[in-house]
Amino acid sequence: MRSRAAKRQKVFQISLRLFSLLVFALIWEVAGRAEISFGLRPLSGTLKALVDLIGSGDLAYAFLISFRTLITGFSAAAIFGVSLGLIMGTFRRFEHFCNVYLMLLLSMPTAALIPLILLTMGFGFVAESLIVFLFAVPIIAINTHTGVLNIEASLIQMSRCFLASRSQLFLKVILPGSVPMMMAGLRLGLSRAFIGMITAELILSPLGLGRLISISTSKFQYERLFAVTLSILIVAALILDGMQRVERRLLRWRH
Amino acid sequence: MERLGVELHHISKSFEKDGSPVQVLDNLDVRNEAGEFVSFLGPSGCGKTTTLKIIGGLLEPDGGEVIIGNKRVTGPGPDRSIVFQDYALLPWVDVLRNVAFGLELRGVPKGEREEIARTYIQKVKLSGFEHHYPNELSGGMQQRVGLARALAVNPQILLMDEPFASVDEQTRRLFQSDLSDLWQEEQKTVIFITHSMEEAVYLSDRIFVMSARPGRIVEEFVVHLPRPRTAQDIRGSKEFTESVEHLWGVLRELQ
Repeated sequence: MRSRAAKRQKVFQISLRLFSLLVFALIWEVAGRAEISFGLRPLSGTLKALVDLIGSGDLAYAFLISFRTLITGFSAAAIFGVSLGLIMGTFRRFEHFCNVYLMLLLSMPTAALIPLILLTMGFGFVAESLIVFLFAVPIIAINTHTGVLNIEASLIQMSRCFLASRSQLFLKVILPGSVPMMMAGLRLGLSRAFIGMITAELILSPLGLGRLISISTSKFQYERLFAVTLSILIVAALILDGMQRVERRLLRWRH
Repeated sequence: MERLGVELHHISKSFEKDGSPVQVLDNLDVRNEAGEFVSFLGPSGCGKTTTLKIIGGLLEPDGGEVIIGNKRVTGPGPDRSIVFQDYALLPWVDVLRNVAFGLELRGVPKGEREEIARTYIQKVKLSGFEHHYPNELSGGMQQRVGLARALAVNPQILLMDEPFASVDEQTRRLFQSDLSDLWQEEQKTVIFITHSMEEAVYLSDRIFVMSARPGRIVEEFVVHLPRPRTAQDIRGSKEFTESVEHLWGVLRELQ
């Protein structure tokens, strides 16, 4: 019984979402054709440019280059951020030592660091990955840390009462207990990693998506510019949605 | 199995509150016999839970000592388990793994510990719920899981910290009679914390009434009701109502 009502609800939600997209597409098309500004191109032209970009392989190549940076920077941020968060949650002193930097990184406009990195490391893959890393790492570490702090004190007492060793306490209580916040941190970290990747490439890269954007702009190929932006939006949304699915599966016990 | 009694010798404990120490327990001197069901009864803030945690080895007393079977308590031990007021179940594992958790920490092989866990799940009347997560269970059922987990490690002494405090009255009465049966069957020494006079009389052999701030024993009351007490009419008996009235008289004096 529940499933039928739930299914109907789901269909309704999805159609509403599609309708919202359709309205947006329509407004875009009309606004583009009305030539409000020279730079604003209609959706139809954008889609045509997108097909061309896919056909020529330019887009796939740009994604390949950019994702190499994204994956490297984000993986490093995930490993480092989660470890840092867990260590901070376990050792009080360490927490106060690190918090300053994390808070600074999280609240400052991270893009302001790019010229510094450029100056010290030059152009290239390593510098770009480092920027992605710096965008993603603070939120991952802070969320994981909060996840550890949020574990109920009674669970720690219970484990002590049943004679858990320090490593058992960590592996069987603290680690699984911090997973929900950790996953949320990774998701936020990934969306910040995307921002870092595009920002870095707009400034630094001779290749990749950012470069494709800046070339299209300077050659007045605005349909291409819109097409690249649209493709990035779609891919980022798909990846984040995939992560949310993984998260939901991992956290089945909450529903 | 050897049965152990608990002796509290001149226990005192104070906590820091707003910079000044507050005396929670003052010179607590209590002996309980092996196999006895003993309750500590008193208003909130009288240090009942603190007493229990000291016996459990989770807190250290400022003065005095706890002796169990001729040995001084210095921390948690395999001879004691605690049933926690807020259940303290791991939300991310199912009932079976929660009940087996104490055994898991002790390195009992998976097959063996699950078999033991299933036995105790049956004893607390939760058969069929082995693979449910805690948040799919009612409060009363969650506490049954907590009780099964505590019994599964086969302690000589069971420490129960207001286990029925957040359970509705109907569930509480059913649970009380099941607990009474289980105690008869398992022959454990039980130390039970409660603020309910009826509950204390129904379950205990002996009741220690405590006063608040600083917590002291103001009366030791022996319950003369026959066992087993699971018969429907025990609560209506003259002895039962008189015992409750007497305890109320003592507690009223303390206000």
